[in-house]
Amino acid sequence: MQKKILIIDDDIDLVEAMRLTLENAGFEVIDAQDGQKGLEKIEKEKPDLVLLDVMMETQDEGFHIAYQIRNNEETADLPIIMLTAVGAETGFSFDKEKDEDFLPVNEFIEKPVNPDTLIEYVKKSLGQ
Amino acid sequence: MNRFSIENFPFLNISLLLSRVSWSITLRWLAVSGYFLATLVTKYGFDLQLPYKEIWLILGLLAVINGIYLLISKIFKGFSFRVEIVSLQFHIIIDLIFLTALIHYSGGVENPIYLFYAFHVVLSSIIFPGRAPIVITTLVVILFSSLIYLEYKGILYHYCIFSTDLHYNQLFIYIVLVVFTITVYMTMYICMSFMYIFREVKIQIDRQNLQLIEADKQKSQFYRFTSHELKSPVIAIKSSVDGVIKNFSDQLDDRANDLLKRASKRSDQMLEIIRELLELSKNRSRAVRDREIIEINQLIPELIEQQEVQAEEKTINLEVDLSEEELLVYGHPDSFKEIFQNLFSNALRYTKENGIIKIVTRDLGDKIEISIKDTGIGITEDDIPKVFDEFFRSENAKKEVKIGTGLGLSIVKQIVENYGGKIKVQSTLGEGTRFCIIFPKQKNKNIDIAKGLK
Repeated sequence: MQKKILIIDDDIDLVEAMRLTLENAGFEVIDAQDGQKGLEKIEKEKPDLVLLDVMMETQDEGFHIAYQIRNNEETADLPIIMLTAVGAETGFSFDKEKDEDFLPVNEFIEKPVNPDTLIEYVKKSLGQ
Repeated sequence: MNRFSIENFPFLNISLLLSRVSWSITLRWLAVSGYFLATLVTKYGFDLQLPYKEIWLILGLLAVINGIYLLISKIFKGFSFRVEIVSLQFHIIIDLIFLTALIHYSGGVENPIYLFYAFHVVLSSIIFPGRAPIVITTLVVILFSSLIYLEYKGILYHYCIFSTDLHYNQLFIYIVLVVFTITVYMTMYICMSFMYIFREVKIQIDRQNLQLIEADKQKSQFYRFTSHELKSPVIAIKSSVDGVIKNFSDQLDDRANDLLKRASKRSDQMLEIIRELLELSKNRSRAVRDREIIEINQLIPELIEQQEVQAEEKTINLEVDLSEEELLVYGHPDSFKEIFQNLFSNALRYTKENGIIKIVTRDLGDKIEISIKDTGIGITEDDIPKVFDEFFRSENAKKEVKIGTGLGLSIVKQIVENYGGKIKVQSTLGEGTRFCIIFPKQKNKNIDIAKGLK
């Protein structure tokens, strides 16, 4: 069955670039421009994976969205890949092993994401 | 404006003031015991007749008061600056009264210990801005002349030292009083006018310093903001181009593919510049709290290992000569990694195949030296002073390697200076370059002691 991926990012050009790669790799792609719309789409469309940008309206909107996804019983197991330019932005760098408790996401990828890397991470998070 | 507000005391802060207060307490112990010893000498050595009981009583009283000062300063901590300044003024006035009493019992105008008044005049003229020194100097003059007048009039008993009745000699009294008054007021005036200049200059320097710090902060914020604004579009460009390359490369001819790859590479370059700009602003604000004790001789081999492959690819020989001493520095490992990677990749980039890169660490006593020497293209004499400038790239470096941000060495210099270190460069065109970094050496492995030293 075709897996459905939700991209939550306010940079529409970046969304289109990722959509191209992901659709060509055989995924269905939907998108949302901000966190709130993202949460609504998760409820309505039931995606299999979320690609989540860290910074949208506020510096850490993505983190809050990730927490809300994890704290909702229905979506607690939804794989989340966090896209970040934040390592450079705010001065903290992420270490997945170290920050796992702190940040409830499956993977971090630093932007810009190479298409092959993107597909690799998506497949890994979907258990493929 | 409040006379006692701290802005008027640019040379003092509360801790300095407290240390001065405890210093004045110590001085007072010395004065009391010194005076006591002097009376012993005059009593038993010179057989001088003075009311020693009274003198000793006064000294004892002063010692008790000094003990109270000491107790107050030990028990009640956290007084405001204002309270401390006022109490210091109070101390000086009490001291003046005691000194006057001592002069009275030690021979009045006959005894030149009235010169001791000058200490208080100097002290108050240095410490207090505004009118306080004038008040204190005037008090000195009033106390001393009243004493002499009262002894002259016979209202106070005069204790003779020389049995010459000098205290009845009007001319002598006038001379002493005039010379004394001129001396203390001149002393006060000289101290005050110099202190006025020093205070003004210091206030100005402090203000400019604050402005500089603020300007530097704004620059960092500007870097950060700009970097974010620059980064987003480049990320979108790069992602789009890479998306096309990935998904449509078979539908495009070779030239189109080649152009796209070039575009992708150039956006990488742009991202690298932005990243380094950020690194520059980050280092400027990197917190002291993340520091730890680092053994340079352990860290360097790890860092070399990460670069070995690249060196092998270019068949460059690595020579490593590490000091046998333990070389400890107090800092953030990432900072040292950044320094080393920048210098090493520079050396690698500008050194031709079969060249040599030599890494040396040396113990310089209280300092540590790390140097990286290459047999690369070198730097022209004119360019040497500019290599650490932001965005500077020398012409011969550009000829050799087209792409570079010109920020690497600025970052290195900034980190080194953040740690209180120095970086030097020696270079001969066509022969090679040697970068040499000197850091303060950390003597103790115990991090708490290291922190305490900071």
